[in-house]
Amino acid sequence: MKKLLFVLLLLAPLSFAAWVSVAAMAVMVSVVILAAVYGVAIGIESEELKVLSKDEFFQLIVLVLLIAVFFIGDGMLNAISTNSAFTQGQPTIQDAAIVSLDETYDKLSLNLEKIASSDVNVAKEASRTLSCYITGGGYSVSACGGFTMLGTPFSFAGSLTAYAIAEVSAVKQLVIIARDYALALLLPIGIILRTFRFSRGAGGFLIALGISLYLLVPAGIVFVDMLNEQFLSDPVSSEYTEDDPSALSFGDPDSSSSFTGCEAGMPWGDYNEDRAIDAYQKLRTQLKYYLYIGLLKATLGPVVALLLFIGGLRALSSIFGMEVDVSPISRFV
Amino acid sequence: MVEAAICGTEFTDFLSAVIYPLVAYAGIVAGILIAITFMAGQFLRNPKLNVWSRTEILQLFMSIISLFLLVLMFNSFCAIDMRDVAEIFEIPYTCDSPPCSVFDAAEDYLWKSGVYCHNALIVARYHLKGYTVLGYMGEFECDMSTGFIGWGCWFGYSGTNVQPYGGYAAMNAALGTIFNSTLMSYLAVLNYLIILIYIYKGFAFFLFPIGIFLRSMPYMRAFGSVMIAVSISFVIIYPFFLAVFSLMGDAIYGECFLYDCDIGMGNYLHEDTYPDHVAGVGGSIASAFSQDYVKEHYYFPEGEMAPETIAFAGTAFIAGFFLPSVAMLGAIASTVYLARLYGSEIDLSRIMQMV
Repeated sequence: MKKLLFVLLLLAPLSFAAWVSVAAMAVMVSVVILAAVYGVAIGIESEELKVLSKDEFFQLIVLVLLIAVFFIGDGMLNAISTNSAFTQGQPTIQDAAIVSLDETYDKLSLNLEKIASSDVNVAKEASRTLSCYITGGGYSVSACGGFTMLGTPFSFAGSLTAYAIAEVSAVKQLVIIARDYALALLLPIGIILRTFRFSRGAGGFLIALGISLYLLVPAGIVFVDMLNEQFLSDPVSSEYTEDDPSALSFGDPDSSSSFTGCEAGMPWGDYNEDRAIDAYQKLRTQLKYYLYIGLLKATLGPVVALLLFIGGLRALSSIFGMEVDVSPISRFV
Repeated sequence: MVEAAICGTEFTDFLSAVIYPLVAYAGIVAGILIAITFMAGQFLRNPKLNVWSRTEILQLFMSIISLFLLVLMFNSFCAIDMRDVAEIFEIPYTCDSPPCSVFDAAEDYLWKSGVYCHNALIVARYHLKGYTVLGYMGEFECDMSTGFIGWGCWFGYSGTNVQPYGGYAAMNAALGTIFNSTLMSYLAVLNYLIILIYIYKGFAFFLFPIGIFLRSMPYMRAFGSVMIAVSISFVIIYPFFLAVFSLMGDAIYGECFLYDCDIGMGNYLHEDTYPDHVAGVGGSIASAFSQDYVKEHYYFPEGEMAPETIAFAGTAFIAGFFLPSVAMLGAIASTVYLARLYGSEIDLSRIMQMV
């Protein structure tokens, strides 16, 4: 084992990227410190220090193995990342997740536009008040109050859609960071830090962070997409996806989905109430078209991705030397 | 505490003049106490006291090594240039104002994330303002209209009151929640920046001599260990994580500190198009003929950018809240790890709830 370690140490600076030279230097410094500690242990006959030195030696072997694993087959992580089962026609799983998130973002933006447009149209009807005054005398009638019931659900829908857009954008940002820096920066720095006993905890945490970000965040998005594909292949899904939601409009002769607007001066009869109810029924029918994107694509995907990330961070940081209390991150979900 | 920048001569003088002597005093006092205990153990022929003294002298030795480690790391962090680190990892990195030590890079990350969050906040605020003003806009549609002349208003006041954009409640609700969450991100990044500056002013170093002294006191080992662990974690680990994140600046906040550099701040905001007194009258008159003209001319000349604004806020959350929180988690977890190395198990789960 010692010979293998020595050979790996000699090869490392020659064969690999620049950071491996730094890692090799870190290993060498660690070996020197280890030798000194072992010498002191023999000198003062301290069994505790001898055990510590042996333990550190095993950690060094683990480190060299980690570096070796990192490079075998162009990186095991890259192999998983480019596995065609997960990439959905894209070069890597990260690219697949970014494409999926972009698609979700576009649909959510369109939905927000429709919700805002519907809200504007409905509120315009609800705000109508008829006035008739001549020479200081007259009357005022507001018969469109029935339309105000539609304002609250639109506000709620606006908030939910905004959260979904923010969530999708935030997770996309995480995936981009993971794609560009997890293997190039976090993992190598983590490996170097893991060399020394004092920084082993921080190193283990960075390694866990790198792997979790690189694999588990995009995996969460892609796995939920796979579930969605199953759902879409079922005939029942057509009820939720066959039509795009359209904005509610009133008194628009060019639109087939347009409703008759409110007549502010007609408080009698059920004309205005019926029109408000018609608009509500249309809204109720359309709600399910918003659900697929809003709940399945935009909420479930990021939530599963973050849960996988948090679980992975905890498990991997424990494996690499330091268990991290991830409860503060769990509260993000 | 010092006013000087970390790594500066004044700060190094502060360490040499205040912290190191304190550490030396703490070490000497602890050493004297251990020596007295050992002598007492010898005199009284009490093996418990002898064992205690031997254990404590080893612990004191460990504390001194920790000091050596802390100083070594501190000096290394001041000497390391992050541009070289970026070069080693083949990552594009721009340092705006050298020197670019690890400590500088950590501060730089939080400062730039703060700017990014603040820009997101400005953009969200602008849109909220626009939609709120539009929401309150009213018009009076005169009855019996012929073209744009309403005869119903000719001799009296006959027509319908309408709020054409009164329904921006959905947009206001959406942007309101986003504004609040961006405000949280902004406050969070400022909070983390204040913690970092607090560390840079030297207070964390005071914990070290206290820790060395306390570790050698009976029943105080755990507390002293925590002091040393906190000192090392917050002086070394917390800035280090932030410095690593600063290397990712291109992906996190970019060079323009905007969600999309192609859009540009000028396209997000049109503060100058908000009507003043004169233009306000013009806008009011214009609104009688076309509300859409008012909306597009005065408030959103480049079109509404609500989804982009919300996405901006989402990415600001990652820059200002998520990643600095990860750095803080790393520092706290490292405190637990180091405290364990020093021989005490601490439960920080309640403190973690504050993160």
